[in-house]
Amino acid sequence: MHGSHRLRALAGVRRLTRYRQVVVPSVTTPLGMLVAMVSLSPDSITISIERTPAMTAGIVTLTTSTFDEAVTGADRPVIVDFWAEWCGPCKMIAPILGEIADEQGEHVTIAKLNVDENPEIAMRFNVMSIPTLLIFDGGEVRKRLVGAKGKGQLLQELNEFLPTSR
Amino acid sequence: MSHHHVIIIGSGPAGLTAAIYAARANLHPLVIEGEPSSTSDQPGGQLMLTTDVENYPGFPDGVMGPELMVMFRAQAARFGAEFLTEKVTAVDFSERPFRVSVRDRHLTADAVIVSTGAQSLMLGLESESRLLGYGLSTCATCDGFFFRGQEIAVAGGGDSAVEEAIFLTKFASKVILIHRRDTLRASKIMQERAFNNPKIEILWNNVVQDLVGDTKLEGVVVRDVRSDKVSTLPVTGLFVAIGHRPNTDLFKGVLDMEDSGYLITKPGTSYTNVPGVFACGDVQDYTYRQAITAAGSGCMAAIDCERWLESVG
Repeated sequence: MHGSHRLRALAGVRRLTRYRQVVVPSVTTPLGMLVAMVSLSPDSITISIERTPAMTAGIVTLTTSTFDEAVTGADRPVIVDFWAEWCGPCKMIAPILGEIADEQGEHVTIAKLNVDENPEIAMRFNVMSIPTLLIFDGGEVRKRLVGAKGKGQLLQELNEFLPTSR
Repeated sequence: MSHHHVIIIGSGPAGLTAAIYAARANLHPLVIEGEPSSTSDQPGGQLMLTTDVENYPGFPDGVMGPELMVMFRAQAARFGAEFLTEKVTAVDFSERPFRVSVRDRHLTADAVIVSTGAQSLMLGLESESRLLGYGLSTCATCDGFFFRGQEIAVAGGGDSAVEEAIFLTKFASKVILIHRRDTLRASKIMQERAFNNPKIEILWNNVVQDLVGDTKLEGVVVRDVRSDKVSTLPVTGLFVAIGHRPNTDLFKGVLDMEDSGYLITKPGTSYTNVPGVFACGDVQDYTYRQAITAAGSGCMAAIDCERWLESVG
């Protein structure tokens, strides 16, 4: 675990032990979400940490300065996930996009853009709701998907950008 | 086809509490938790779109809704509950074992606990689908950020509407609460917070009649239900919190339900009209609709289910 994340997790544990009950502080790291389970009983403290599947495998992180080149210069469709840390539904689709990146990485590029840190790009494309997925092909927006969706539904929407032989 | 002792459909406070109890009774429940969405119809349920939950006992300083649901889920997982992050597409309760389908996969179960909850009602306007994501939103916690310094509106008068309005004042310069009656249904403490918030203005006795704007929301047309006077509010955002409907489309013609779609349970229990199928949480509760009552009824369903399984051997 990355040092600073470990410190944050420990701080969370220390804060929560006051309650002497089962608690689950969670921390999001580049490897996915870590959920710590803390059980306190009169004679023992059990701490277990569980990691949700890694979600950043094949996903490209875009910023205002890298956006144009990554999207217009691409030789294949680019799916950009507009997201933010405080958006629950965004967190739920992140692992799904990770899976799609793993499975379809040779046909499409999956990228993400943090709207908190890059509001200019969100404004340029009129993104007013997240998660929003914009699918670029040949530098143009070809499709716009607003709101979180399950994997099956998402693949169906992306079908036209994926090889039919799937 | 895989067989499970108990299948729980839905993963809000009711479903996950049922999972905790069923798992501890060694019933090895499978929770079919739903799919991600930007409405309350998603894994974790309605609390996934809220912020501070201040009335759930055991959290003197409040707890974030999504965090609470992560804890519920971890607690169920700790005792061996299994999860399937998919949406149930069909059920067949006509014979045992019961069949539950997820697209082309068929699962069977000796008993089923239904805790599919309720989802937010939309306005039912034609302009709605065009402007969803362009100023019209179902998730204040997701989208409030985009309305910094702007004048926006919230439709509704219950706790969710008032909570959203208060949350949105963090970003918006003004929030107009459009409510169809002359009093709020929200709890007294939430009402007071709304009345004392200088950024919140309440438009009484009005309903949303239409939305203005082609590519993004430019205004909301409201109608006064008393005088029928129509006017347009020049707002750039509208958040809808006008109530809920139960997620019972799957069970039409299968389980007894009220005209409103809420499942009918035998009073004081979680029994539905089909022996071996139990219902808990908001899918069968239009009176209380709280996380704590949903959790309580989830516990009832797991205990009813365990005893029923014992009785049929």
